Amino acid sequence: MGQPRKVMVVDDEPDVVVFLRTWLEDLGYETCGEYDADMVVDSALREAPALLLLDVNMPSQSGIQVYRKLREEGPLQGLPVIFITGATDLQLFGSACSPLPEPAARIEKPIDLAGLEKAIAVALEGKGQT
Amino acid sequence: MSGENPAAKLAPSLQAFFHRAPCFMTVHDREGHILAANENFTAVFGASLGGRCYQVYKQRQEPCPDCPVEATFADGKPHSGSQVVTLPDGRQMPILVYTSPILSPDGGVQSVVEVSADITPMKVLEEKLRQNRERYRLLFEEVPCYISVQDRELRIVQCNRSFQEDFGNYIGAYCYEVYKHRGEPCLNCPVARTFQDGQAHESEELVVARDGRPVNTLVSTAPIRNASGEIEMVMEMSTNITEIRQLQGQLANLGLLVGSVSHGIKGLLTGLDGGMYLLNTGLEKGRPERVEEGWKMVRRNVEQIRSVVLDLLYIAKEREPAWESVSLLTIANGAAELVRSGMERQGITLEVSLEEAGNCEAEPKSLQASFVNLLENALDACRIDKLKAGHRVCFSLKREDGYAVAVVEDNGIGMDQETREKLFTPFFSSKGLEGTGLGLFIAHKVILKHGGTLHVDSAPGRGSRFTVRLPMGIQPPA
Repeated sequence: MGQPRKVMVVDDEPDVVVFLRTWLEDLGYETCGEYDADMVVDSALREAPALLLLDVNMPSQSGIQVYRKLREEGPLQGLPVIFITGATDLQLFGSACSPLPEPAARIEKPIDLAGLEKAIAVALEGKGQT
Repeated sequence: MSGENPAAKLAPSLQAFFHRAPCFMTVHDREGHILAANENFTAVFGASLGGRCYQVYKQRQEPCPDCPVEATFADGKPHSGSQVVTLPDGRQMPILVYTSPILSPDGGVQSVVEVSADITPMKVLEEKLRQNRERYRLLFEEVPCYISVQDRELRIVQCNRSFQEDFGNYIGAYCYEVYKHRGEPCLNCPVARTFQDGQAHESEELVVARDGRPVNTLVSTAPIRNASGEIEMVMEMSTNITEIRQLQGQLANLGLLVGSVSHGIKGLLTGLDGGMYLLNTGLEKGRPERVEEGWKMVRRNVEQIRSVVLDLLYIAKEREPAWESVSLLTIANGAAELVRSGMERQGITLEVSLEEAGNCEAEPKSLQASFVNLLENALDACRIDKLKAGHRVCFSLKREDGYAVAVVEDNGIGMDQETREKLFTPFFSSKGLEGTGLGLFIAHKVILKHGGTLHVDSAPGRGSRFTVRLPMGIQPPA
């Protein structure tokens, strides 16, 4: 990893944002965080992250709604997104996502850090190739 | 005794018939003397010629009051009726009697022929039929479902006891009026369909009992046909499945609960993992600020897991609160402290104005959890609201007219009428998948259990105000 890549962590629960940012920084990533689902698109445009870790269940709008917006907006269309969810009903999650392109990965809470690390590497690698 | 034995005058073939006919045949004169009797009669009652019929048949000393022989003598016409006679051995025998006049040449009644048939087998059958009818009546009346019989116009012709108890006795009324308080037949009426195709039909209906209580019923219909096979009536049998439907609702709620709780716990476990990660790496790297942050994170998430578990225990079973005499100020202060850091992290101002409100009998943990629920609800209402630049939550406690009054007020998103009405319903959440839908439900339940009230004043965009009034000096229920 030459230039540190920036990963944006979106979760309405501040503890999760602090946790993932600390962990990512320990791995050598640059990070930024957002607690508010409504602000994700603006923050992403401003911060220009290389990857987004996106919580699915947030109070004002769901991560899936945010994802839909990201896919609509021009500059963020190619931004890889990893969903992080505590939802038990993955079927529902799948169908809600179906008209949209698949996210880079889906990670369930509580988070398996090794799995997430691998998913982040794959997502960023994929982006590097395109 | 007048006249001679008339049977003796009969032709031999008729004599044979007279004697062997499978019934009792006798001929009587006006005084009731037996002038002739066939072999069947003699075999049972003995040789009785010359005796009076009421003496032989009934061992009476005077004529029977409803004697058909006498009636035939009186009007010259045949008569019939049922009688019970007494056999020589004392047994009773039911008989059907027919009488016919034998006219003299001048047209007067000379004697009367009496033909009697033993109807014991018929009586036995009749009794069996009566018993069967009674059994069916009992079944119809006592079966634990509503039964009504409707005619082609859907008018109730008959209904059983269970139906009458819950819907009233409305013979002649239209079933849709009685069952559903409607002015016209129901769509897809199973009774009408049975009249049409002669088949049994089933449907599930929501009907209204006469006391206004809704009743879920499972309806089956069956045609009642006349002798020529035409459908005259339709029987409607409805089983009350209200309790089953309620149970299903509770099971569905339980499913929702498991889903929402497991989702909540997963989030808290992630926070706990985060805290432990910060603790471990802080220790490894020798960074005390990270250790402290991690420790706080662990404590916060453990506290929240504890609160979820307490909530679960609260709804899992009805239990008596562990009453203590406690200071409401201490409880309110504790609640404020638990939410303060969360508010700060979200940039929401927490204004606390707590006065000494005295002691009351309460369950401190539940009451504090209720205040925390109200405060967290206010925090969420502020977090979601995007319209205002700054958000604040005011928490106050004071004593007023013998009550302790706690108010949690926010300038968050506010609620419309529909949300306000469903606010204290379990599993209702306006926060999508985020909320468990239990917090306010349990807070309300706890406050009611403490003899208090929880009042909500809210409008969309303006914010909400929750007012808790707790009676001071409340005694725990005996």
